Amino acid sequence: MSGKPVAAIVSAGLSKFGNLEGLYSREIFAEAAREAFEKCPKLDPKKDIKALYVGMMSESFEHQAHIAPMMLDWVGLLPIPAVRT
Amino acid sequence: MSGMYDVVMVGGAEKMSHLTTTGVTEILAQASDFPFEQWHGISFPGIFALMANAHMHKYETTQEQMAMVAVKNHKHGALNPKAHFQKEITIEDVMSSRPVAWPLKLYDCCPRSDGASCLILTKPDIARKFTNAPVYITGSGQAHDTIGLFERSDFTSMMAVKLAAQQAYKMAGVKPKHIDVAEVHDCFTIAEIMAYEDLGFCKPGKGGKLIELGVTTLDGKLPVNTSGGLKAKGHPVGATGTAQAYEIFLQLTGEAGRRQIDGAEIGLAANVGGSASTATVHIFTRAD
Repeated sequence: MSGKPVAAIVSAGLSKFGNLEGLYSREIFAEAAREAFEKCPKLDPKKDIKALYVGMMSESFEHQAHIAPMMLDWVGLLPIPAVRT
Repeated sequence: MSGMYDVVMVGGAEKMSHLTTTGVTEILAQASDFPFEQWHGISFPGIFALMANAHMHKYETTQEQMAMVAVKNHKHGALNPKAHFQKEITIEDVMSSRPVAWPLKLYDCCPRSDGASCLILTKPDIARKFTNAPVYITGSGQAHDTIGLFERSDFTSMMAVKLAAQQAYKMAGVKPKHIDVAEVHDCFTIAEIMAYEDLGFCKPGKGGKLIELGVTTLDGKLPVNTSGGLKAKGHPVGATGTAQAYEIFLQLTGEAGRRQIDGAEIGLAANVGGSASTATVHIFTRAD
């Protein structure tokens, strides 16, 4: 019934949502990444992941642009390609 | 996809709660038309209130039906330990909450939240190197509409959602009746009612009836927003798309805890940007 897979999700992570006082978005993203990495012990993030695509609606919230390399750094994946979506 | 990478990470994040509601609303409004919307003082609550008014006028959708969306999503959110709001509310709570942009009241609106989400994606043929329970993306659609709501001929439907859904259903080879669980963009309660219609879960104008009949609650035939949705789980804007996929991933791998839908095999996530100037729809299938 279902079509051909175009991609597979092998792991996923989510931070707590809400008023996360005292945390920057980079720290919150690292929390989500940690869950995704820990849930998938067969994945070696540093070796296996080849690119990061990370979304943010506005740099005005934190007065912080250029978030792709920043997030990449905070999840320990420098220096692979990263793009803000 | 070019096929250049075998494994990639996708995700998103937003930090909003440290700003005032006014400050957040102004930044969010930048996703609407500047000269003809923002400049005249309309922000997203106002834009979705126009849609709600049009829907009420054309289809006799009621404020109580919209309130039922909020009540349902809070009920689901109460079962999600990561949700922004983990408490149930009543129809009366919604109806008596203060007006924001008529007919939308405070409890018709999602909160401003901090949060982040991510997925690890691989090519399908190597997924089992990493896990015994991959979830496959079998359908993907994206479409756009005018940035300004005023440029559209109809406020009661989101064309971009409809088109993105058609693409995703076609690619996946499934129909709305095959969907076991869905996450949709309920930034305001009316948006979830419109999503039911645009995704083909019911006929145009019957979204209010669908929520009233309980079809989309956790124990209904087609549970929608089991995570609590934007309304109760929260809406850190940049994180919302992959957060929807996260919920579907949990549901299809049997990891959704107290809100697990038994035997869920096919899931759908529908996300929206602005007043649905952007829409994406994805269909997910559990591995055999």
